[in-house]
Amino acid sequence: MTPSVEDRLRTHYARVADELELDALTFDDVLHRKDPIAVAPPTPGSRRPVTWALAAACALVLVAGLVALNGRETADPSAPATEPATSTPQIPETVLPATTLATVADGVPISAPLDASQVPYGPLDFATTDSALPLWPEANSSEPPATTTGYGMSLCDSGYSTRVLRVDPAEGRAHAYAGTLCPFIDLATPRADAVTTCATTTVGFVYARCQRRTDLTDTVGAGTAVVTTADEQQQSAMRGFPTATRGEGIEPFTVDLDAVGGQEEAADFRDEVVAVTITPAEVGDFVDTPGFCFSIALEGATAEGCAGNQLLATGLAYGAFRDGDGPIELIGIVPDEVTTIEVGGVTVVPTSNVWHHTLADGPAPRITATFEDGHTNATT
Amino acid sequence: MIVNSPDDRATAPSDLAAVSELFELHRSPMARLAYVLTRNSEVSDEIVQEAFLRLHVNWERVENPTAYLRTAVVNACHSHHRHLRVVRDAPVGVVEHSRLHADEISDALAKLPFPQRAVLALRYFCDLDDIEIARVLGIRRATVRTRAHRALNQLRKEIAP
Repeated sequence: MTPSVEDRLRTHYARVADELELDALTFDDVLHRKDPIAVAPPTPGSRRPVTWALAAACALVLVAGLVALNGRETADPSAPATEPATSTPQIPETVLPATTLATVADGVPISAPLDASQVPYGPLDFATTDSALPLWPEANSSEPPATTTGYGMSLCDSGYSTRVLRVDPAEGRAHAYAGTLCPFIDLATPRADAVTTCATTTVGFVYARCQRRTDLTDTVGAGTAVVTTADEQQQSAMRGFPTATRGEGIEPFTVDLDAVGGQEEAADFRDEVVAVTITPAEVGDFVDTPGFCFSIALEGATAEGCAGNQLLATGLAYGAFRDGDGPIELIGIVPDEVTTIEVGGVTVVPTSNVWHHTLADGPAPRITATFEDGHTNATT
Repeated sequence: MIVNSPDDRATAPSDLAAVSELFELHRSPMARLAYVLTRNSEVSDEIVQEAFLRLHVNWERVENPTAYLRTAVVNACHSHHRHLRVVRDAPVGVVEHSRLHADEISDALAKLPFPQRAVLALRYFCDLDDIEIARVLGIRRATVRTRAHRALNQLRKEIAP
């Protein structure tokens, strides 16, 4: 009888683990090592340590908003699941940017400035709509306040600098949010666990946490919010990022995804830069409405999440990734109807409902999704 | 096999001796977890040492040292994995292969994204349940299930006769 994959895994792991031989060592030896420990030295030939800026993604946010703020400060990397936050481990490696401020519910800074001995629990916050902000007041903790509609958000698990790089307020200049937005919540039908997963704010192991809201009034109280206002350098760095898909925008396309086909099997898109997997979203599990889930893997970063069909129907569900000052990688997921995507004048043909385009530095491009009969939808 | 020790914190004094004691107890299993994930013995040991150093620094605020260590190790392995990934030279998702264990399942595991490999290792090596895995990885339980499902399906494809 052929052993199951699970059994083979157990056997495999046991065998691998048994072959590891460790030198005799005490913790005192570790403390008094002369050479500093470098846990993850860059491999020759690899790019420099990544500071993936996971900007917007799936520009959604419809009426939605979301997010996050964090709960209590603790060094325990495994907060209980029963807490309002679905936390991510904290392993402080660097201090947060000087512009970062952590606050608790009463607005009193708990760690400003942060130092290396503290656990700089991260953000969260998010771009939301004006109508949604009153329901999530503590989320609107940016300076200037977020008055924009829908700059996407995305998911987490990247482990790297995950940051909403650009928010376009109704007035004033664009600004940045530190942190990651976690999808996808519809405030009209709030779910206690709709805000999920993690976020990271700085290079290394400094993770943010997304708070799970139990109700609209959030009796738990606001968690730790970290917001960064873009400085001039960040402003400059952000200019190449496309604008958000407006959540209230039209939905000109169907929501059919051949790549998913209603099957459990994943559909893959892969090129030399990115790999994308799309699977059906399980209503009630990942999203409040039918939709799709995706997994995006690039060098040094992955993003996973789900989006509802409202976003898919815009034809403008995309995420933008950037590694430091490198090129911006745009990855979008479109329904079957969309035959081409035009990014800043360049036509991209989706494959298996996914498109990918690399942007050099420059002004933010306009993104247009087009169906074969000519009807379109475009970013502003 | 790594076993949770919920009483670690309660029974150990918050001083160097306590961390030293934990080091003696958990260094080996943590290193093996790291080795399973990185396939590099030197890196594995350094990751574990670094995790203990962090634990020492943060001792006063760490509520569950064992859980902290496990999370620190997995995250460090993830970081190491990221540094090794050079997508422009190799397809996404293809990671370093072990020379020592170049068998079918080893090769198949190497092709999985790290988050999926981490879930499998925590489930089938550490014998953690999905709730514990979710805590270690900072993800939802549903995400754990999804990752495990995808990973196992992929493995079945890869090693199908």
